Amino acid sequence: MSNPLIQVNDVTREMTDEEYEEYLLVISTPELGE
Amino acid sequence: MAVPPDFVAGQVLTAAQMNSVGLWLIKTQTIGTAVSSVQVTDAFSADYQNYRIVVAGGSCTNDTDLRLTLGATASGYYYFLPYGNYNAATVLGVNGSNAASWAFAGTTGTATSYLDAQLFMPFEAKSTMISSHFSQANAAGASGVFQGHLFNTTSYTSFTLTAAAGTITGGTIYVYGLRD
Repeated sequence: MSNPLIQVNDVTREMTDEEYEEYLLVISTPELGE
Repeated sequence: MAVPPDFVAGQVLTAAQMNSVGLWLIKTQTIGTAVSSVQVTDAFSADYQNYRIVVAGGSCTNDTDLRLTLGATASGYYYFLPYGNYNAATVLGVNGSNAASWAFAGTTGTATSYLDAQLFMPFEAKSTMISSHFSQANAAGASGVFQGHLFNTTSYTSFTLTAAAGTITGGTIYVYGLRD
């Protein structure tokens, strides 16, 4: 499975597994306005 | 000789005049295509204690929140957002206690991304404070004032913006330093 894209400064690339784990943690909290 | 903020054509600016510029554009970054998150490095340094971050333009596949994290830190964020929906005069609230991000630092959606945050002392080895506007760009959305802290003593040079859902395309991130 490919990981989502992250942009670091002006370069877009696929997230590393470590970055993806962190991303999943960050987006795991409730949302407003969905 | 005219002094800031009044200038005349061809005027030579002195160091003292330039050093009195209160808001300095440190860097801009254009957001790419279909990215879930955007990291901006070399944003914070010893040059400034406090910063303003602005995001405008672009779009997201979902009308949702724009989350802000510092460095690689994914815990310890505290915040409170008193907010209301545009279609009701009721004050609501949402909080985060030892959360994984400043979850409502900004907004993004099909119309535009929007973030206007002031960060206090992210580079200092002290707790970092955020104060920002939360204002969704859709008629079914909500608006409020977001405030929070990151209670650690880590010194940060970078930050990351993450869409709570979907992916972002386009828009510009501006990072300003506030003259000490």
